[in-house]
Amino acid sequence: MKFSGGTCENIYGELLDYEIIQHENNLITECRLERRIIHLQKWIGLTIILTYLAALIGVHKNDSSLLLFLSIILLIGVIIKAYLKVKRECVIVGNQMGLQLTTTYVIGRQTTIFISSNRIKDILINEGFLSQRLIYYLTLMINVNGDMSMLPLFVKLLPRLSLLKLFYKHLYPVIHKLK
Amino acid sequence: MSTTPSPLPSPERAIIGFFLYVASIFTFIIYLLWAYLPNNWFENIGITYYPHKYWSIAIAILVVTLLIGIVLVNCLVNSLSVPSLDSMKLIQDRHTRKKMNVKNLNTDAIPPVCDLDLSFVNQVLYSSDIK
Repeated sequence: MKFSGGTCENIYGELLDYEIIQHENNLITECRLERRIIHLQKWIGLTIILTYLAALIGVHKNDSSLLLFLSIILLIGVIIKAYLKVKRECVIVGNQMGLQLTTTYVIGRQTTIFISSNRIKDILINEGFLSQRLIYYLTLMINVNGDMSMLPLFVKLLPRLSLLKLFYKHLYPVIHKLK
Repeated sequence: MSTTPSPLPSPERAIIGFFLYVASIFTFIIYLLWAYLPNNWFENIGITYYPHKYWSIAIAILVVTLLIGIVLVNCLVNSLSVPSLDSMKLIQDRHTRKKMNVKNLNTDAIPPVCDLDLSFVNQVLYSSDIK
């Protein structure tokens, strides 16, 4: 079981850890990308500043229903952010089986997409637009009853081109050995 | 194709530009006079039919709001008209030229121009071995 890993950067500058694991005599390749959660300082600082400002305005001196309402809104916002924030994305490709993309969120929720190998056509590094930037992303070409569609991989974590080249070099031979 | 539009200066554009320049300065001076001079002076001269002074502030606010709004709406329309990451328009759109079927490979003629296949480009750029 071969294993290689390291750390790289996001397009926004955050640090990501990556691992490339070959299982079962190089028949199954797994590419894993994980976000290091280091933003705790930023959140604690913002919380202190905002509670100081709220106490300065005098939110706690008015009727307590307003304070309760604001606290509930804040709590819902935090829960929604934890529900949607991606912690790890993992792509597992098996020889003559298919490709599986697993997305793990911060609260532990996992979503999975599996494409069987008779539908996979190709894997590419494509360029596209995301919030007024041009980014490189890894994408899978799928043949759905004759017309092609694309499945972008790693779009929640968005690594940079150097890591995408490394993943491409490892995933391309596995996908094309199926043919 | 006949004459394509080009941004070069021409005599008609020069006349239109000069006219707009003089007219805009003139309109601005009239607007300032109407907004700042008191109503008595107008009635003494004889001008009695002019818009209510409320509109001087309304026009000013409208111009400022339009400036901010047009910049924002331009950025928003740009963001909306961009294809998403999983659309096939990023690979092929109405301007791509697909490779026609090979008719004769033996001639020395220059083959027709077509767009390269994206997977071939990816292999050349990003993988170590070129097929």
